[in-house]
Amino acid sequence: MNISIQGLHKKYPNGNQALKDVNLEIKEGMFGLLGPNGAGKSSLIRILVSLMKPSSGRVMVNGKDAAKNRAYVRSMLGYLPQDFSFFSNLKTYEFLDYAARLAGMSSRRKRNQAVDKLLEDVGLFDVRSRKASKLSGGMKRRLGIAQALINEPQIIIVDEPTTGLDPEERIRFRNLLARLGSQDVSIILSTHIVADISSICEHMALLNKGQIAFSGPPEELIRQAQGHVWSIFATEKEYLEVTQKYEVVATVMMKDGWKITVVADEVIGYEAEPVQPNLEHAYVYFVEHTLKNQEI
Amino acid sequence: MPSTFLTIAKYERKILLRSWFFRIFSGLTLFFIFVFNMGEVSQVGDQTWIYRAVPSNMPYLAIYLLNIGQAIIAVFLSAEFIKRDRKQDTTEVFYVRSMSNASYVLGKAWSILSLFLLVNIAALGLSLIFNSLAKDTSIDWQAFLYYPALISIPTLVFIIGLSSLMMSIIRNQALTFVILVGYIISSLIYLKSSHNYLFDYMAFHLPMFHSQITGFGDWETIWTLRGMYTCFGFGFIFISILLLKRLPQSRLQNLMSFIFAIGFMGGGIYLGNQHLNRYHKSVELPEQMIALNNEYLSYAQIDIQDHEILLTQAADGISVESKIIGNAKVESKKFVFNLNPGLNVRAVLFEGQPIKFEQKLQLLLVQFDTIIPAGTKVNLQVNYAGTIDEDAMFIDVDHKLKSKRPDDYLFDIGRQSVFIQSQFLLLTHEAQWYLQAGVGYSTLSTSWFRKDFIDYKLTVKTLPGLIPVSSGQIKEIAEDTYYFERDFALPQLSLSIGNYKKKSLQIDSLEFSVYHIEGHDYFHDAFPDIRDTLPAIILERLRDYERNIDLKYPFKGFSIVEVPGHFKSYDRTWTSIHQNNQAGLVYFPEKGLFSRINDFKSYVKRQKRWGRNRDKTPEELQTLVLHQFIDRFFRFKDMSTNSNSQGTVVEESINPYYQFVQFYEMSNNLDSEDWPVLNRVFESYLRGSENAGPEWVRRNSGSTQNELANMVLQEKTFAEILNLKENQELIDNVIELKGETLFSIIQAKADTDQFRNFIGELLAETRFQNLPFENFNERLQNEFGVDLSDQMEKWFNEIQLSRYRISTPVAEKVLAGNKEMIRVSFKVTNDGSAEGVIKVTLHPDENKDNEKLLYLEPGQTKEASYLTVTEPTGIHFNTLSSGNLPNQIEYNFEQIGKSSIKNAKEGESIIEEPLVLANKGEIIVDNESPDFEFSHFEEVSRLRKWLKPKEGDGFKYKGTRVWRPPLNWTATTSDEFFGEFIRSAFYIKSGDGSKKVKWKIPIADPGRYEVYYHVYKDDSFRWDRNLKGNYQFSIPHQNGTDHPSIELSHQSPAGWTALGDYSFSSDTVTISLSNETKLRAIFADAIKLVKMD
Repeated sequence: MNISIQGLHKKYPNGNQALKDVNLEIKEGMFGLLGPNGAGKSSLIRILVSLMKPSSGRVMVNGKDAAKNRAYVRSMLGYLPQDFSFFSNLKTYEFLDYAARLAGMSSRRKRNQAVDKLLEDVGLFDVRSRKASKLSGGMKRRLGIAQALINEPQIIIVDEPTTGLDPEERIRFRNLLARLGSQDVSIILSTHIVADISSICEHMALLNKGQIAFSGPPEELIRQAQGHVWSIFATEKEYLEVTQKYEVVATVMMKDGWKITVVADEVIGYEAEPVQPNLEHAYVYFVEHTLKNQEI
Repeated sequence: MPSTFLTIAKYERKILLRSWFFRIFSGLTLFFIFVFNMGEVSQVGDQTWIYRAVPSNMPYLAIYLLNIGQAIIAVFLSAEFIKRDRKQDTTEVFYVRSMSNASYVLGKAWSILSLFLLVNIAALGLSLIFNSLAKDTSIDWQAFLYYPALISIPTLVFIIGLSSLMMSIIRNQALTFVILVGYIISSLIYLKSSHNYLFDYMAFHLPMFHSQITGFGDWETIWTLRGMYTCFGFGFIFISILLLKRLPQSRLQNLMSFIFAIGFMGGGIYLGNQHLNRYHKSVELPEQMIALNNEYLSYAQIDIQDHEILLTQAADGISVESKIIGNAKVESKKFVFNLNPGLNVRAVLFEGQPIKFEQKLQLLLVQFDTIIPAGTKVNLQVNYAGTIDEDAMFIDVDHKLKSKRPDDYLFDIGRQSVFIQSQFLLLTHEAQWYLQAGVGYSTLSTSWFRKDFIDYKLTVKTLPGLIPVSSGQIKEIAEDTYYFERDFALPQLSLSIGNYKKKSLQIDSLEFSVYHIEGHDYFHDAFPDIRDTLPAIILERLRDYERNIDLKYPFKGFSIVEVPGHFKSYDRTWTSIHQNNQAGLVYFPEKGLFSRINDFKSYVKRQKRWGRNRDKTPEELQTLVLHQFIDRFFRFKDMSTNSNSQGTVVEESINPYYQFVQFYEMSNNLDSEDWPVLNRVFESYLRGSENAGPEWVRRNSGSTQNELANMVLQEKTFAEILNLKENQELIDNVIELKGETLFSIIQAKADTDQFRNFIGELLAETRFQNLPFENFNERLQNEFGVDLSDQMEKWFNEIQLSRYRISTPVAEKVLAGNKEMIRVSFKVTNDGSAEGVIKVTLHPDENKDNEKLLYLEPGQTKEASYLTVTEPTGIHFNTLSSGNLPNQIEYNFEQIGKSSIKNAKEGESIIEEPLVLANKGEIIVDNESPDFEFSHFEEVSRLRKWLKPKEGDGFKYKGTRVWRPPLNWTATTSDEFFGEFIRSAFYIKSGDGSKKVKWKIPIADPGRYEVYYHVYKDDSFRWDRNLKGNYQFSIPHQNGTDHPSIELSHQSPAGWTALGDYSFSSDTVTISLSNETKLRAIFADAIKLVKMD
C-alpha cells in the first residue's frame, strides 16, 4: 500500500489557502497527522477520502491517480469523520450491515459474520439491537470505527477520533487502532492530541498553516527537541515572569514554589535543568519555536 | 449499481418507516380513509350511490384522499432527506463508499416512492374490504391498478423530484418547504383547472372518473398531464443527481444521468406543449368559429323541411349520407349550412349530380351551378364522415364557465358532451352531427337560437350487436340496420348507440321504457311490492302534472336512456332544454349515480329509518321512493349553497332531467324574428313560478335569484340584461320573471280563466310546428282584444317596474248569500312606473288552483276580497317583477274574526285614495328611512383582512344567520319585517350595549304619544321554547329619559309592540336600541308613534 501525495494545494472560494504544496508518502502502518486547529488537516483528509477536489496536485494510491480512479480508491477506504453521528432510527447491527453492503459485501452470510465479528471486536455485541440514539458517546465512536473497518479496507482514515472521549475510552480506542496498525493496512490518524500519536504511530507528519512542517518518525521530532526542554524551579515571585518569558508546557505547584516545564533554547537567570523531551514537548517546541523562528 | 441502489433504498426506507412523522401521517390518512369509507360506502354510513353505482369510484376515493396527504408529506420527507445529507458528517461515511451518485439519489427517491406505494396498497386494501362488503355493486379490479398508477405515482415522482431539485438549488429546507407548499396551495385553490388542469400536479381537480360504459372521460388530457408530471419528476431526480454535492464516481453513470435528465425533461416539455396546444385550440376554435359565423351570417339559407339521414357507425367515427329537402329562403347561388368541423364532407349532390362546395371549419358553403330562386324546392345530398370535435361544441358558452369545477361530488367526475367509441356512441344536436341550415351561434344576431321543426328520417347502421336509440319507434330493417319511425317533426335530433337492453311498461296508450347498458339493470327488482301498481302510479303522476300545467304530454312514449356518468351539458339562457333531453326521451347518467334516490333498494331501507316512516308498509315505502324518483323529472331547478366567510351564495341551475321541455319546447315553438327570447319567456309563463323554497334561499343568501333579478331590472332594460354574458344565472331569472309577469298581465287583463284554455288549445293546434308571433298576437287580439306587439318594444327597451304597498290582510267570517264563508280582504297600491300583476294565493292550497291574479296600473289602488269555504291559514303575495323586497310576502292569520257583513262578494274594486303606510296621527320611522342611524365598527382582524381582502360589498341585504350573527349592523330582509316596499331590518350579534341604532323621529305636533316597536322573532324562537331575552330601548322625553324593554319569548307576539306612552316636546325625538341582550342577535326594524288625545 502506498499513498503518495504530490504538490497538493487547496484554496477555498473565500480565499482561504488551506493547503500549500503538500507532499507526503504514506505506507502501511499507522500514520499520524498532527497539527493545530486550522492547520489544514481536515482539508487534507477530505481530499484523501475523495470528498473534495484539490485545487492542484494529486494523490496517487498504489500508483493510480485517486481523482481519476475514485471507485478504486473508495472501494479500499474506511473512513471515520470527526463528528460522527448516524441515523438514530437504525439499530447498531443494521447500521453496520448497511455499511457492509455499501462496502461491497453482497453475501448475506459473510456480511452477518463480519458484522458480528466487528461488533465483538469493538465491544458492541451486547448492544447490537440497540438504536443509535441509545448509545453512549464512546460506543458511538466505536461503532464509527467499526463501520470504517467493515469489509477489511486497506486504507483507514480517522479524523480526530478521541476528541470528547473519557480517558478510559480513549485508551481503549488507541489500543484498537494499534491492533489494526499491525496488519497490512495504512491507517491515517489525524489529530491535534499529541498523545494519540505518540503511543501508536510509526510515522507522522506535522501540518502547520497548510504546509508540512515535519515528516518522519515521531522519535525524529523528539530528537530535534533534545536540549530545548527545561524544568524551572520558580518562586512565587518569579512565576509570572517565567510564564511570560517562556513557552510553558507544564506547571506543577511545589511546597516552596513552582516547577515549570518550558520549551526554550536556553534558560538564563533561573534555576533550571534540562528535561528529556516527549512528543508533546517536541510538538510544542516545533510549533512554537522552530516554526516561529522560521517565520521570523 | 442495482444492488447499491436497492441497498440504499432498503435502509432509507427502514429509517423513514421508523420516523414518527411518517407513521403518524400514514396512520392518520388510513384512518381518515377508513372513516370516509365507513361514512360514504359502508352500510353503517350513507352508502353513497356514486361509489357503488360505478365501483371504480371506491378505489378512486381511497387514492384521491390519500393523494392529498401524500403530495404534501412527500415534500417534507424529500426535503428532510436532502437536509440530512447536508449534515455531512453523517453521510460522509456513505459518500466515501464506492457507489455512484445516481445509485445514491435514485435509491433515496425509490425509498420514499416505494414506501408511499406501500401506503397506497394499504389504502386500496381498505377500499377493497369496503368494496367487498358493499351491497349491490361489484369490484372493478382494474381500477385498483390504474388509479394508483395515474394519480399516486406521477404525483409522488413529481413532488419527490421537485423537492430534491429545489433542495439541491436552494439548500434550505424551510424555504423549499414554504415554496413548495405555496405551489401546492396555489394549484389547489387558485390555479385549479387553469389551462385545462395544467398545474394540477396531484390530480386533485382533474376529472378521473372512469365510466363503466366508456372508460375515462378526457383520456388524452389525463395521460398527457400525468405523463408530463412523471417525466418532469424523473427529470428533476436526474438533475438532482448531477447537482449532488459529492464528487462523481462513474463518468458513465453521470453521462447517463445527464442523458436521462435531458430525455425526461424533454419528454415532459413535449407533453406539456401538446397539452397547451390542445388547450389553446379549445379556446381559439370557438372564437374562430364565432368569427366565421358572424362573417357568413347573412349568407343565403335553405329552409329545411325533410331530412333523411343514413348514419353508419365505425369504431372511431361515423359516416353519414344526408338527404335534405327544403326551400331556398332567398334567391342565391351559394347557401350555407353548418356541421361539426370534425366531420369532412366528401360530396354534395344536387339532383344526383355533384356540385361545388367548400368547408370552412363548421361551415359548409354549397355552390349551385345556377341561381336558385327564392322559394324553390331544393333536393340536396351531402355525404360526410369523420368524428366530432368536442371543442366545437357549446361555442356560445364562456370558456371560464367551461373550465369551472363543479362541486357536486368529492372529486370532479368531469364533463363530456359527445361520445364516439366502438362500444358506445352518443350524438346530441349540440354536436352538430347532422347538417343544419345557416350558421350557428353568432354574436351579431340572436336569430341562431330560433328553433325549427323538421321531419327527420333516421336510419342507423351500427357496429355488430349494438342497439341504437333515438326518438320514435325503432325498427330493424336489416342486420344491424335500424330505422326510426316517427309521425312528428322534431326541433332537434339525438342518437345513442350502445349495448342496450330495453325494459318497458305499456300504460294506457303510453310506453314507458328504460334503455340500460347490459348488466346495469340493478333496478329490475327495486320495487317488488308495488310491481302491479307501479304503472298506475307513474300514469297518475303524469296526469297530475298535465293538470297542473294545463298541457298534455305530446308523445306516445317516454324513455330513460342510460348514458355515461359524465355526460353533461350547460344551462342556456334561451331554452330550458338540456342536451339530456330529446323528444320523448331523457338521457340518464349510468345507474343514476348522481342521486341516492336512484339507489332504490337502499333508499327504501333508508326511508324506513325515518321516524315518521317506521310504521309504513313496504308498499308504502316503495311508493314513496318511486314518487321521489319521479319528482326529479318535474323539478325545474337544482339549488346548492356555498358558504364562506363572506356569506352564503345560492347557486341555481336548470335540472337537466326536467321534463317540462317535453310538453312545450319539444313540441311547440313561439317563433319571433324580432324577439327570439319570447319563446323562452312564453315557456316560463306556461311553467309558472316554481321557485323552490325562496324562504330558505333568502335566509341563507339574503335574497332570492328573482329578487336579484328585480334589482337589476331597476337599473337596466331587459334588452340590456340579455346582453350581460357574465351572469347567466341572473339573466335566466330575469327572463323567467319578465316572462311570467308579461303573460300574467295578459291573463289578468283578459280577465278570464279561459286564457289558459285558449293557450292549451292553441298549443295543441300548432303542435310540432312553429307558431309565428304574428299569428299568436292576432289570435290574442281576436280572442281577448290584447295587442302584444304594442307592448313588446317598451317591455324590451324601457326600464319600468311596479312596486306595491300592501295593507295587512284581514280574514273574517262573513255571510255570502246564506252560506258562512271566510272573506280575505286587503288593499294594494301600485306605486311604481309600470303596470303589474300580483299573484295571490290563499293557504292551504291543496289543489293548487287558488291562485288569483290582481292587475294594477301604475298609481292605481285596489281593494281585493276573496271568499273561501275552508279556513285559510295564510295568504301569499307574489309580486313577480317588482321593486318589492322580498318579492313574495306571506301573512299568517293568527285569528279569524267574525263580522256582520252579509252578501259578501268576491272581487276587486278601484279606490281613489292611495294606501299610506302610517295612519293619521301616526309617525313611523323604519330602518330604510334616512332618519335611521347606526354605528359602524371595523372589527375584522388584520390577519383576516390580509388573507381575505373584501371583494366588494355585493348585495346590500345579506342572509339572516341567527346562529352566527354579524359583528356590525347588517341589513337583511324578510316579509316579517316592517317596510313600505323593502321589508328589511338591521341586525347584529348581541354584545355589551355599545353598538346602538337610533331612530330620529320628527315630532310636528308635541304632546303625548304611545310608542311602538315592530318586533321580529327569528327562527331560534321556533326551535328553542325556553329562549328569552330583552330588547332595551332608550327614550328621552319631556321628563327625562326612560329605558323601557320588550321581553321576547316563545309565546310573546311579533309585530307592533307597545313601549309605553311618553310626552314629547322637542321637534325631534331620538329613540335608541342597544345590542345588549341575552339573545343571540338583535334586529332593528321600525318605531311607530301614535298620538294620544
